Amino acid sequence: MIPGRKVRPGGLALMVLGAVALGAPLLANDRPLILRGSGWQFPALGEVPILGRLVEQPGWSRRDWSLPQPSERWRLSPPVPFSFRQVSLADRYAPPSRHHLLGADALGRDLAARIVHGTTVSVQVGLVSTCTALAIGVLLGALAGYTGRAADFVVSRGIEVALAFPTFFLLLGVLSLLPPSVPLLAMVIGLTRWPSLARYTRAEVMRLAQAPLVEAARAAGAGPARVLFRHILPHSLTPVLVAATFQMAGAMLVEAGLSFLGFGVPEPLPSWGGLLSQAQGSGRWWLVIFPGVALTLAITTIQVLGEQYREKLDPRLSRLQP
Amino acid sequence: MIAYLFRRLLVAGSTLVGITLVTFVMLHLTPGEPSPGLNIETRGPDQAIIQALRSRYGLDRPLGLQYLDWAGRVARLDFGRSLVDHRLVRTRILERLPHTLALNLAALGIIFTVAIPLGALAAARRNSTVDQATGFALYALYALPSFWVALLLQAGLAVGLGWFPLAGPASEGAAAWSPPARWLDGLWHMALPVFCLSYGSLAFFARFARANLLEALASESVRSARSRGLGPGRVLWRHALGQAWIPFLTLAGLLLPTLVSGSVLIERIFAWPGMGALLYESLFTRDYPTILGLTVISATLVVAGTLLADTLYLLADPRLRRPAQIP
Repeated sequence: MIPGRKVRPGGLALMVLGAVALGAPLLANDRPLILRGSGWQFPALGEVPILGRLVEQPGWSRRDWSLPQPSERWRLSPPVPFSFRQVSLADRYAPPSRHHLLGADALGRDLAARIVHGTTVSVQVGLVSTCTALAIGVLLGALAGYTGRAADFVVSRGIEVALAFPTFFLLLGVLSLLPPSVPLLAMVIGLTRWPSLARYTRAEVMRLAQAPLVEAARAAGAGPARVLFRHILPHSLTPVLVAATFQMAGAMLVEAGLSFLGFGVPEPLPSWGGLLSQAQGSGRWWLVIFPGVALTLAITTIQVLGEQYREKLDPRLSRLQP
Repeated sequence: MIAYLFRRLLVAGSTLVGITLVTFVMLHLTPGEPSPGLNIETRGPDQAIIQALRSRYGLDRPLGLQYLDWAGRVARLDFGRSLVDHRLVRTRILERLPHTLALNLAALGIIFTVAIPLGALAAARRNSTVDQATGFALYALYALPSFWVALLLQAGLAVGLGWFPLAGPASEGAAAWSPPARWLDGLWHMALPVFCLSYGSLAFFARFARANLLEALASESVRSARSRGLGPGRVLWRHALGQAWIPFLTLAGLLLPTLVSGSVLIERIFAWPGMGALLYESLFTRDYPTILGLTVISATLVVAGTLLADTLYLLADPRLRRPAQIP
């Protein structure tokens, strides 16, 4: 570690969140992590995105991994030895125990496994929607801040209009009509979250357009597109990215709310909001408590991170809020 | 000043046109047309009946004409009849409107009356235990998802302890009670939904108030007020708050969409018969006229609220009244 540099809690927690999201199949799976039979096999690894294609074998997805496999000598199971879709009616509403760490739901599916895999869904929606919002927001903001006049007027009024939209009503309307899918959900959420990003980009671009470095680039013969994309945008992105972290937390919360109402992530994929929706009226405390804790922790993590970046960027702010 | 007002009116107008256009196009370009009240399975699709219904509801005309026709009627608050129970959409929405308004206005009132004194207290005793404790509590509250808190409160305070009613706007048989009893009963039913709706924005608002007041307390006008020998209370409330309260107005305007959005979830959980609950029901039955009517009315309420906040802002900030300041 570099001396004098402290590990910030937000960064560490974010790494944990990312690791859980990416490694969900390794943390909660009915497939063993390592299976030693005639040779070595890594069945759980087969469900990890991208990396899994290298080890996945035909027939693995249909096999019942809870039974001893032919010529099995030894196995290492994941910490949560259940998949998120494994139904077991004998375990209906099983309370937390050594078998089901966080209990089981109405279909006997393991809650811990569903929460772990819910992380993947939540982070996916957060990232994809934030990237969508960033693409739109940065482009429109740069257009408004750099060209000025008519384009600026139109985009600025557009931002104000978009900020006054009750977006949740609109999202519900759109999603009730579209086929349920995670990427589509993320994109649609992203389409509602660009206005504040565009506003930040516009302000930064406008400020930088007057900077000496831009004047120097122009004097050296750079055209307007080159000035904007090579000289202005790279310098103006930092505050926009800070705002984007807060947008990501917001998008994850919106996803949870939509899934809670039944217009978000489709079953059997687990989403924290969907889990809470199934908990309502069940009268089982573990179904209400644990998914909510996961959601709150994830959102707090991202917000704390954004807060840290903001303080780092704006020393005036850290003076005001010690 | 005129230019500023004109700009705000332009934005408000385009917001309304935008929202009607977006919802209209979106709902009509998606597959699946409503076939109201038809039981196709038992009678088989009768083309003549379907055609008659399509022309009765104007579904066979070009989309542009349908929109213009609809927008003209919307201006007169005529949203047609619901495809579910054939009652006027306006009547259906108007009977839900007071419930949603009560919830949102109560939330807005609580946010203002609690957040500003809380922020002022924290700013006045900066870095004290009070400041740190409220800072931490507010941060935690802000991060808690409202629909989760609603479920927890329902399970804990309503089912577990029985202190509050589980759901609904009134107790059974309350209609026969005397007015004060009915009134108290309504307040008692509102407590949990209003708390869930307001605490997140309240936390955000209090933190914003604290930051703004700290900035105002560090300003030169406040320093000069102090040097004239004014007491800390007078300095805080008159001089610091006097310059810090104006941005709250804009923020209140921006808060409205959040509140209206949040009431869909909260109304659903607490079975509150407001516009959010009606929207939820209408989405499942693809009741186009009601969905469109709800979207337009909620957007209008939000736009009207924002416009009101902007106008108050104009009256409150003398700098905006000077024409030279307007870009």
